[in-house]
Amino acid sequence: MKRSFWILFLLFFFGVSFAVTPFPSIKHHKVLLRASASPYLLESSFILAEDDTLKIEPGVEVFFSGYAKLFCRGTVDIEGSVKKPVAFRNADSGESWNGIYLSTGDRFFIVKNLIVENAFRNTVVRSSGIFDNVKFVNNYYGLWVENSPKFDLVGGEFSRNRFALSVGAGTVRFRKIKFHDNVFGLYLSKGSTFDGDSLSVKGNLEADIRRESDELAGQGRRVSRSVWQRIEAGF
Amino acid sequence: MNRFAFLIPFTFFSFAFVACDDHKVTLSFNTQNPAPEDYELRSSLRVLVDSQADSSNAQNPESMNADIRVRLHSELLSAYDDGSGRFLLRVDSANYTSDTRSVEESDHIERYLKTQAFQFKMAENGDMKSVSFDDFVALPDIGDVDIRKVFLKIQPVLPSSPIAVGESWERQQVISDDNGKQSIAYKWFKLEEIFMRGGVQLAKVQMNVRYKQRSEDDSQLLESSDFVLGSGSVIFDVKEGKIVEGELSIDGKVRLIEKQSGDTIPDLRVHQKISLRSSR
Repeated sequence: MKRSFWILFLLFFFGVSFAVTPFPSIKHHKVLLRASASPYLLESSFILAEDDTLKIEPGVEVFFSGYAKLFCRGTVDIEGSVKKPVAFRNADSGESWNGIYLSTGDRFFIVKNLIVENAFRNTVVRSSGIFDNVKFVNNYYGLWVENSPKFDLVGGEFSRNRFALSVGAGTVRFRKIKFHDNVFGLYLSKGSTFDGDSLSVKGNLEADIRRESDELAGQGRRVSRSVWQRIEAGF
Repeated sequence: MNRFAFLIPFTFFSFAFVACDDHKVTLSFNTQNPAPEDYELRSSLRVLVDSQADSSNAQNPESMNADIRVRLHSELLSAYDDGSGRFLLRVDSANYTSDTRSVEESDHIERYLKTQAFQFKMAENGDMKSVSFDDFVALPDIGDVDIRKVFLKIQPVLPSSPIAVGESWERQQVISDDNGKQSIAYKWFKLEEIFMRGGVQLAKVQMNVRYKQRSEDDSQLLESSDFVLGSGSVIFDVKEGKIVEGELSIDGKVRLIEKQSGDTIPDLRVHQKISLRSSR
């Protein structure tokens, strides 16, 4: 009798301890991730359409399995707090997840106090919005930015990424960001630029700032990697 | 007597027509009750700077080589009364190499390819519509490879009536992308031969393709000033209504325009070789 009680107790304890909530589907064009239901698990990809809204409460933790991607075209409001940040992590410790992809156009996104870990690539493309105190840790491409002149990076940190902040096209603007212990701090594709304090990009392993145009010139080449890859993807 | 004199040649010609009809075959895809099928789809892509456009480095032109090999599983989801069927094509395994990507990036593409599954509605003549990714597939990111594009190039469109060896037909294939933009591929076919292999009646169809490349987003435009040309053949199982194998070799000249920077990138020559082979 006593043994049965303990078995039931342990089952209940572990059940509660490791319970995860499936990433909710869109209802009435809204998705709300509540701290009370955290942690969440996203097993496949999630697409937020242009007329949908994603809101995440402080303290929410989301685990992404295998090849999950959070693809957002709609309104994004992720507002963690300093004490209770929102966290995006991989569910499988041996595999990275795909990453967050923001392509919101003129819909201004707000992402505050977020930690993004172990993704392949997090992307902001043709979007307007702000990343305020967002930490990118151990991603392959910490953050890839393209053609987003109304996007601001403020007060965050990039550490242990392969490429911390990459600019595919256009300009990236950042203030009070720490780049350290990445392989490459800031990677600028051919023709792209940055607006920020270059002195904050220091202590990175291979290079603090790497410009593709310098590499190409050194090799006597004109065609950038992104051009090859876009032709491959588009042909 | 005169009446019989008229009937004899009439009867002869009637038989002659029937005999000619016997040499015709009907080529159509089985869209109603096909067995699940596995295919190996391979694409080898080589892109290099056109030496005529860029003579500065003619001896050693800049180039890119990428190779995709996927194993596809095809199955019918539903058959419709109009003779068409909705199919699911799923990537079961993938192998990817490229000399312009790092090991990690190649691994990413390989893993992405493995997630790809798409549905399409196909008519009996092979015309495909609504080619869309399954709901659970991540949409392509910057530079990600989309296997649908490769598959659509080698897909033949069959004639609507019985056809004899040596006859040809043409079709325009409308290809829509995810943004709703359409492009047209002109395809020309010729029934080259009908033969038996292992007790199976097969039709060899010669295929020529021409289309203008044009894909565009806010920042870049990829286009070909002239037609991209392709030629190859498809071997079709007449009774089962399915492709047994096919190959297509495509050549073209493209240019990529960076809209904002106005960067001029030299013209690039593209050579792509696609093969499709049933593995059942």
